[in-house]
Amino acid sequence: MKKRFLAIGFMAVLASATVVVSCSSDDDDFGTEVSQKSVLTVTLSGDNIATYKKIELEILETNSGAITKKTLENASAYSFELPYGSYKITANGTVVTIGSEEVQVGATAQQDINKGVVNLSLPLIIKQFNNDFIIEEVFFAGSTTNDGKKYNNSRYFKLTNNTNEVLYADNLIIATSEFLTSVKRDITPYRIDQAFAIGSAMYIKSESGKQYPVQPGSYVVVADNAIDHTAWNGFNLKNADFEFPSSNPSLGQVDNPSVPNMKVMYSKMAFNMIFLYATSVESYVIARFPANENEQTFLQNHKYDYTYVTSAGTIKSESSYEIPNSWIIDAVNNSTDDKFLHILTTPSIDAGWTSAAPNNNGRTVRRKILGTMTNGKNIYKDTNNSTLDFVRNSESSLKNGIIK
Amino acid sequence: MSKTKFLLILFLCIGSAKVLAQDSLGLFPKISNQYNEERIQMKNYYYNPASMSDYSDFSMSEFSVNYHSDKQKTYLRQLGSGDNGINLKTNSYKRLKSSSVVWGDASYSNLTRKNLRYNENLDFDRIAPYVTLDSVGGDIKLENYHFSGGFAKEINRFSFGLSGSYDAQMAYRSRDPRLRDTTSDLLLSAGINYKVYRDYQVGIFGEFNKYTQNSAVIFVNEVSYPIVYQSIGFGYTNYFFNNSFKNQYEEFGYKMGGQISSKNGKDFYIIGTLSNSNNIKSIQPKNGNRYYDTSDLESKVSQIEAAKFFTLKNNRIGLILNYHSNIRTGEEYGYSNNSDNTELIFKRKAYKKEQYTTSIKGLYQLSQEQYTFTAMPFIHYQEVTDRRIYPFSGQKYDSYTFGLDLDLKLEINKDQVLTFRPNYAFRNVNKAINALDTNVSSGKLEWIYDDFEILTSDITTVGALLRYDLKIQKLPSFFVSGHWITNRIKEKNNNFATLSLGITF
Repeated sequence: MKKRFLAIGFMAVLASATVVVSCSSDDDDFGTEVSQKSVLTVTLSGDNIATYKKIELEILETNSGAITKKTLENASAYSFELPYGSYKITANGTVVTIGSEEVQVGATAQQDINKGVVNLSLPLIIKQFNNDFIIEEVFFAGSTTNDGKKYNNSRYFKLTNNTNEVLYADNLIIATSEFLTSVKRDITPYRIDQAFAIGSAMYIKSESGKQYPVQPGSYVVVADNAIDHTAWNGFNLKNADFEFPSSNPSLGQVDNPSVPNMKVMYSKMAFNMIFLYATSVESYVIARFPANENEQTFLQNHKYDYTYVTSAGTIKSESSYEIPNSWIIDAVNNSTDDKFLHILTTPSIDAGWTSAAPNNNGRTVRRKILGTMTNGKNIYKDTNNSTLDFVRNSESSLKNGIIK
Repeated sequence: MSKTKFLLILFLCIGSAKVLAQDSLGLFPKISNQYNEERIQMKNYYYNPASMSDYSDFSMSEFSVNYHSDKQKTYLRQLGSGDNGINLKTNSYKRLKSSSVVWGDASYSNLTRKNLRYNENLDFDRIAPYVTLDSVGGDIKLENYHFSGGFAKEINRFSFGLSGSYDAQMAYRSRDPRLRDTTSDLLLSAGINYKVYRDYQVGIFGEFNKYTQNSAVIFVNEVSYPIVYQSIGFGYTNYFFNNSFKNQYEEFGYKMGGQISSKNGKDFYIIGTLSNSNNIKSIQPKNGNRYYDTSDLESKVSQIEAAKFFTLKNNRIGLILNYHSNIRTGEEYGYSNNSDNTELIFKRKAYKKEQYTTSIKGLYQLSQEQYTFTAMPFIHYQEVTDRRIYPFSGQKYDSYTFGLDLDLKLEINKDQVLTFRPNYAFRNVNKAINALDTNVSSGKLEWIYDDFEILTSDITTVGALLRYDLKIQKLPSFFVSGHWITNRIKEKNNNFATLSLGITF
């Protein structure tokens, strides 16, 4: 009897051991790819498009960082087999319009995929290119002095003639954004497809319109203060073409008498100051007044009043100005990976964003160099997508001063 | 946990041990019993706290101060090139009058772990691959506190046992990247044995475990610091939570087991155990103020061990067979920023590591009046498959290790004992498959390829321990011992040495 009990007990242990062993080779549902894969069909569309000549699609999954690329030629749809994830889709390429014109297009979209079949419609926007200046480089991050203090001067814009003709910098407008790429509010009216809301703007005032010629491949530097900032780990901007020093005594900016000043067209700050965020959260545009427009007509006709809902639920009114998209010749959106929420320009002007972070790291955002012109000057990449066109955290091109 | 509080408890343990009646054995039989090789090999049998009532016929305690130095030339970067430092430990086993026993141990270590890289966490084997990665790394200072204790009692045919243990660790680094990491590990277990017939006994036991780890990396240099990644294995990182500096791990687990034995395991025993735990990692993004769960690492361990011993005059012969399987599956969580809030959109099983080990150990012990000689040949076979999907990368290898451990305890005279324990082992890798994805940055690729080379290398281990015990009149016996081990991997030697001073009573 007792031996039987012992035998049963022994078999019980053996049985549990067998269960144990067989459990160990059970795969659970690891790797059952069917349950975690989806088919994403991307369908391109657009106004007046006859043929989708060549479109490059790039799909980024934001959890794993995996990138899937596909080039479509003469096709307007494609189905991707993708695992579940949160995706950002970018399209860049050329189409032929109904009017037989070959134009460059782009689009961006976001899509979460967590079911078997997903369809995404991607409307392509014709990119707006102008045979004009481009923003080659912006230094907004500021630097840190040798004793660890933040130095927020020595900022500059470098605007380059990326064409093969002489261009004039006269009456070029530089504007900063009203909104931030890191803050998304419910704004009414919100019309970035028509105009760019500005927080401040300045321009190169000129009566003749032919006072400041710039050769092909050459550039102008617009500095906040045209002095030598190298003692504070900034740059030597003594030879800047233009400056916008503030008369705010606490900033200690000294007007360089041999460098012409920018004309501040609009600013919300005291002392009519042009202020740049060091934290890579705003966007910048350069624009031109169309014929028959000037500072006065702009301030008269392009006021932008808007309201937004605050986090407390109340409605707040704000007032600013906006530059019509048709005046804009180039733009750059800036943000950071952990804070990016939205771009501030219409995608046809800039569909992406770049970065120089963290603040006060002495780094700039600078365009990629594609090659050289016949005169030996650089040709810069411009596909109206700052994500692809700019290099983040670049070393300043003016680190040895302004040498032309 | 303050050091003074700890040391007070430590000395209380030793003090109280002194109060209880000392068993009167000569030094050589006492040392032979306290460090009985057969009992050391049977440690899985004594995992059940109810089995501890037969652990030893005599009470025994030890206190020691140890210094160890580990210098590795070939090492896995995430484990560092060796821990150096001091360690104080004490353990005690007491037979009480009422057929009960109590046991306990406590230890404190203060170590420097050198050249840690790509891992800003502790307990790597528990949480891998979900650790914080940064390419700079450096040495870390580590303190470890451990307490455990248990009680077992025999009533008629039953034996009951209860035990608990608590481990706390604290690690820090005082230059960028400044690491602050704390862990806490609580284990509670209970067991029952029942003598069914004569010397045959069956038993069951269960264990509960709660573990947490909190880690943070900060940089004093705010201008330029390397990006801190959250690893998902094989050089890949969680892109969504890139540059997050704080994470937490919380683990709950349980273990169950059953055993059948005869003569308290001295004739034969067979044990089966099953354990399951889930370790959930959560990350706080750099500019966020809450933690997001990012992975659930499930660990399933099962083990079966059978042993048989028999005695022929002064010879004791034994055979121990063991099969151990450890399967870890990592379920990863996916988030989306496409709406206003960060929301969870999927969970998927994306990581799996399987380790199967089979071992056969032999025991031959010759006991004479003035010496005891034990020889323990062994052979292990281990198979490891480590892989992930989304994206895919992996490696697989299997190896044989065979070796021989010898133990010689020699009575010099009634107050002096010498112990000499040489050991030798050779690991031969049978087959290795490298299916590592090369789509990672060049620095990380070099690291994962290097790790694969080390994990699939043959290793020769040679070591020896020499210990001298001395009893002076009515004082507790003192001992001094030196232990050295050399592992030869890829034509370089990793050397480990310990020097210990202590007392046994």
